[in-house]
Amino acid sequence: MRRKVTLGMIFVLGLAPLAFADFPERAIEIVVPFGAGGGSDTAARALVEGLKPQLKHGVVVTNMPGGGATKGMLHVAQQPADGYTVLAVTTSHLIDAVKPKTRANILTDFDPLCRIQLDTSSVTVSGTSQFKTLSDLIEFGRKNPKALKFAGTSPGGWSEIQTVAFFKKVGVDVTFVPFDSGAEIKAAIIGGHITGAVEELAETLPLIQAGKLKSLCVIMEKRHPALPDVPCSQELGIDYTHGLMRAWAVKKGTPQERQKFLLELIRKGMEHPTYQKFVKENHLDVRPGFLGPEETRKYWEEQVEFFRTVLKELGYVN
Amino acid sequence: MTVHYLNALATILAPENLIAMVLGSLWGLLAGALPGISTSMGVVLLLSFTYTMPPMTAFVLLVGAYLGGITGGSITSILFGIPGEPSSVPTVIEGHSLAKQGKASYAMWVYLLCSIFGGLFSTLVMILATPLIADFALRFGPAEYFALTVLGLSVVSGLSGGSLVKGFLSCFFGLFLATVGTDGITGEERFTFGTVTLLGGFNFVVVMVGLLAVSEIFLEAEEPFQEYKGAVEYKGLLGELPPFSLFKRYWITMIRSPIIGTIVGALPGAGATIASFLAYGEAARTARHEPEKFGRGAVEGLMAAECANNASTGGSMTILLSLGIPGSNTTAMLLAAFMIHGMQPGPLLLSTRPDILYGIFVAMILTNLLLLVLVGMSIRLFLQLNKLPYSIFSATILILCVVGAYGLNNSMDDVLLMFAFSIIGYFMRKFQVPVAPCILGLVLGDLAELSLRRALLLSGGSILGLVSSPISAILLAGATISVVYPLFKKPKGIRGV
Repeated sequence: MRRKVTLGMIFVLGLAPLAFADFPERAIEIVVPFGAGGGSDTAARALVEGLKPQLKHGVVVTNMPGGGATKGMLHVAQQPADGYTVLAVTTSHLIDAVKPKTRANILTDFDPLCRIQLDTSSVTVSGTSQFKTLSDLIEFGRKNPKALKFAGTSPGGWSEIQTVAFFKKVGVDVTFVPFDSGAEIKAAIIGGHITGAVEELAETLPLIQAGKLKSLCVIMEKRHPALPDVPCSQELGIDYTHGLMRAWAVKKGTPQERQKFLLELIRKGMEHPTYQKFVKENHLDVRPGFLGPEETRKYWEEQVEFFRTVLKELGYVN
Repeated sequence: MTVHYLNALATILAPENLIAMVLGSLWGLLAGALPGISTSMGVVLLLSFTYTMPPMTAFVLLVGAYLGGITGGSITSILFGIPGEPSSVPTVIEGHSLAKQGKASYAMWVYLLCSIFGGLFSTLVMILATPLIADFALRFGPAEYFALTVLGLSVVSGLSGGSLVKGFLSCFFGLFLATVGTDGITGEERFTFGTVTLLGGFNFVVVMVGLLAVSEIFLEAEEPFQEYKGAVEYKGLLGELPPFSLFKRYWITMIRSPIIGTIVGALPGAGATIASFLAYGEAARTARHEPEKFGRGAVEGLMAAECANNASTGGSMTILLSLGIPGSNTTAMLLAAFMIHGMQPGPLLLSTRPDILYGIFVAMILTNLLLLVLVGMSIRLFLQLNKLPYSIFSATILILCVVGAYGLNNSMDDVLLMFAFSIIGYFMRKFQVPVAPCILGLVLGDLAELSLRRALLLSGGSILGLVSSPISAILLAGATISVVYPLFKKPKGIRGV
């Protein structure tokens, strides 16, 4: 009973300023559902640098790792829909929508603000690998099913889906070997313990440029400016260009004008020199990442359908 | 070459960089000492301040926080029995026991000198033998990792104190705890009871703080109110410094532990925690002087763990700087710092930014020396804390533990789990079941299981793949000897319970 009263009070007190004050009148919290220092975290923090000058009360990043990015999502879904808590969404959440781990679902419980980045992956093998081109690899793989061992980070997640779906597209059956981190994978490829990996290019680019690793193909519509000699999947006749996506979203039901305010905020933040420098140096601007709210939702729905098909084939869902 | 070092030294000695080094080290010490802020959290919190700094200042600051964090983790371990970092659990077991016997300042000095020795050792190895260490680390595939964990688990007998049976029971419990969470190979959820909290498995820190620190408060609370047992008078710097003969007596440990630390630190799948447990376990297994003291204040165990966990910094940095592969969570943050400043560590760093590379080398040496001074000067201050009555003291520790557990993921679930483990720890101690093997099992269990299954995936299910490389064969042979040998060894006197 007392709890109900308290909740009621919080509700009333919480609503009162809504009617009068300007938004935002306190700091906005960005929930990154991954640990600090990872790709999603650095991307979010770089963008936050662009938001800071625009906000009087500031903006804070909270890392809430766990449960394959679902713990942070659940947390945001449980906050009031007032626009003060923003979720940094990644492809992991779209995959979770196929086989939800928690009560929260990215498609039904959230409104996308915008997509901010679309990363590029590449098929990477060791610099000293016997495979010189992608067709070498495919030919070997077709003759020896399961003999190619490809590493990734998340079983049943984005990493496995992009590896298996890509090779299925070219008719090769590979063995997927999950590791705990990108660092272990890179060490295992260079050390010759596994054949290679389908991984985000930004992670492997320095080692490719140093010759320790070799990219056989970048997975997108055109060649990558940092690797002009490496063919892209489209020119090799492979109709597969999926990439890791990063977006920001708020809880469904957040007032429209606040959503618009946040969208404008992000749009301006993305023009900030610090963020621009960050995306340029990490080649996150090679493919246009920005999509407005409606386009982002449409893109999410398409992706979720794609993941549903792949996960069905892999036997993760019925 | 020399020119590079002199240039780097000149840059680092600039006032803004020196200030950054001091601030970074102090912040690192604080973050390391508090159980809720891990070293990597400490570094990441600084990261956002470094966007606008010149790169060298940023790295001096972050390196300071990194080394400070690894060093600071042991201060709370010795004085309060709270492992500030997972890697300082052996320090809790041995160092805190020493403190309770009234040897707190002795333990602090041994820890400090060994930490700095380990840190400097690995930094020098990094500077002189980077390619060697990097090549060796790359030879570790899943089979080798598995062999390493088996060797690590085989030291259980050395950590068991009196009863081997109880030691193994405790270790199996730890291994069981390690199976909770999302299966790393199939993505299946195990023993999570549908909760989100357990999807990632048990957090090391939650289990350790519960089993070690909180359970001890419960035990002590059974005693009548009294002054803290560790309270001692500080006799001044020269009166407290451990004699050189101590290090000479344990010279094997002093050499072996930093080597273990440097190599394990360089492995991307292992890190400071596994390094300190391996070195500690090796010291316990081969102890020639006073093996019966292990678990109850063995100075040799403290030395081994401290040398190794600080030495892991050099190993970790080696693999980061030479290949751009982070060997630990904290160096992953440093990698992020490189990216923020538009640089990529790796084979090309030597030609693109030699100033940064040599700058980091010099910064690491200077930071280690700075930490010696900073911690050395404040040992006296820390010891004052021990003079508080135990009732106040233990309440403060409990608050630290609760805040720490909450701070890990901003979640009350972790606090509840910590209390659950403190009750388990209380009964383990009551029944004289050693806690160390349980934590060993938890720390190594996940890596052992996953690397075994990875190795089998790679070899197509053939067990022979596990021993096909010389490294894994040697490690596994070592583990076998370590388990079998004590069964045939003549008992030397009677070991206490």
